[in-house]
Amino acid sequence: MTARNLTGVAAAVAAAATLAAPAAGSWTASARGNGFNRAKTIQATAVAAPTAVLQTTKNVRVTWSTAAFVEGGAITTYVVRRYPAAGGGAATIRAACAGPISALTCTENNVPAGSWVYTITPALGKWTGLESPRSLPIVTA
Amino acid sequence: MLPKWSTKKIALSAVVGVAVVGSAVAVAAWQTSGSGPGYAKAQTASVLTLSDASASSSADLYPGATGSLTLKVTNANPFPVKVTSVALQSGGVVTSNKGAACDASTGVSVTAQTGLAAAVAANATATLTVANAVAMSNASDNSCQGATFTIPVDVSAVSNAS
Repeated sequence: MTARNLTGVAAAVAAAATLAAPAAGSWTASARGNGFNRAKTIQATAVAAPTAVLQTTKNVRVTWSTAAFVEGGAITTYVVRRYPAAGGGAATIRAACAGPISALTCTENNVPAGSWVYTITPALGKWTGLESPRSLPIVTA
Repeated sequence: MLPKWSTKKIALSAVVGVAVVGSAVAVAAWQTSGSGPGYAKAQTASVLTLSDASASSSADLYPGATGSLTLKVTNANPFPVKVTSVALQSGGVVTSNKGAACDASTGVSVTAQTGLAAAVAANATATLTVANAVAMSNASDNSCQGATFTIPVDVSAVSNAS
């Protein structure tokens, strides 16, 4: 190799070695640290008292309004409770209002005879909001 | 026509230069080439760093929902990079600012994300949002409402020079 050629090689090598940035994708790295996320919050106020309407002598249709997250967005599931109008603990709710209800209405069938009131509580898994005020009493036979 | 001693000097210079380039190729994953007048100066590239992005995170998680992962990435290198993947650290545990009851059952899981192209400019810090990277199950404790979750992750990136 001649001295002229070596000079050219040296210049080319120097040029290649002084690039400021690696080619796209040629440099890789990993980093370890933390990412973040935040959870929503169910609204701090209870929804309005539900409306209970007698469908038959033993079937009661319960309707309620939507609860929301503080950050926005509707809550999609609710727990319906029935209490004796005279007071006392919640009675066992029957089909088809048992369990979390993914709707804004349900009809409880075969309700025992008595005077009853209903409440609604937003519920998502273990998350719960405030229980609503009680509905007006409804009498089943 | 160069004298003999000069030819040898140039040849030595070329050999040294090639050796430097060869070294740079061998460790291309971690080094970049710096600038210099006629010689190569290896410069160790800076690793990326992650910092607190809690104030920028979106509140989108609730039981049954998926949400986004927010990362604050600082690239101290003189060239742009792009984040290509993120995953929960092996053995990593998600914690919250709501205390033990929530920490014991956050219900938060992380789905590893690959094929990302989240750009971070040279010598810059960027807040990145990785959609659908986290989810919350019905196991999330009631005390987790409004929580900020800290999620230990591993992030991969590549150079993104145009």
